Amino acid sequence: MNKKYISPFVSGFAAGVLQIVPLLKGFACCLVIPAAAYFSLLLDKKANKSEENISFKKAAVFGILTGLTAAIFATVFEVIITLITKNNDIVFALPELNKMFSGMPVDPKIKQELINIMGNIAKEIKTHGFSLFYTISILFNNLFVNIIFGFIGGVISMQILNKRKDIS
Amino acid sequence: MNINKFNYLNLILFILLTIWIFLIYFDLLSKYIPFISIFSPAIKNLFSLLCHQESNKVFTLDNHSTFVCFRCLGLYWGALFTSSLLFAFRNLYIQANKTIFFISLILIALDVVLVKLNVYNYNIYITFLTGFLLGFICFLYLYKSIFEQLSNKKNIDE
Repeated sequence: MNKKYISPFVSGFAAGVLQIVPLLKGFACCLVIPAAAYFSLLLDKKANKSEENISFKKAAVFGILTGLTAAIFATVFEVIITLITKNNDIVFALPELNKMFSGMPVDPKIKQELINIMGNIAKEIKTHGFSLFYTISILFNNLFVNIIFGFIGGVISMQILNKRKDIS
Repeated sequence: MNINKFNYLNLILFILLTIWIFLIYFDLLSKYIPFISIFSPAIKNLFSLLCHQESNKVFTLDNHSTFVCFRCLGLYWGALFTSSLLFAFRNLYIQANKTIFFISLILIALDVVLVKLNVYNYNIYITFLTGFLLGFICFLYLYKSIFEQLSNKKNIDE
């Protein structure tokens, strides 16, 4: 790996770990991912002893890479935990989801199809500890959200870090 | 950069934020457009990555609720409000200030700690306002960064 991108990788890994901690899970993108993007830029600045202002391109790339790394690691950890415990949020929330689908004012065939899909996912997880559909869906969700918030975190951090230099 | 480009940039961000906020209210909208409720679980799952979605901390109307809590709601509305203001006051982004940014973060932390310590009960208005302030300042920073990049300025303050 290019040494230039070690800091987003390290921060992304840390964020990926925090993203599976139950209490922090809900704040992952709101706080954890932007903070990880900030630390990736800060680490890089410290490691290179750079006095120069961070460019937009660098901030954006570091933010996106942090989000990307966090998404991949969070998904991998989630899959491993599910594989070991054979249980996860979807199994836990299945009765509530079924209730929600039953109450939907849509075609009964579609409703049944949705209930079947969720039931199959839960069954696969309970028996094998793995569901391809579930894995793909969490990977897609993590990638979509983490990359957006990584980018936002990166460009906001750029302003904070650059400004700090101007003041000192 | 001329005014047109400036407005285009803001318009794009404004549209993206509006779509985002529309998604947050998706479940509430499904009360009036029943068919779209089929997408609610997937969108709720997506937003669960962003917010704890605790049932007593989300806006609820007739069993339909927003997908994020009041603080996150404030954050996104704060950003949308700033975006709207930027159409009229295009130099507002210069006001992006590190002190205000950290004050808004401290206010959020203070609110969380005081509620946890039972100094006062969870208040939706305080929660919303603290989020709103952070959203306001974050959007100014975001805008400033993109604006600087597009206008090829090293630092807008210089």
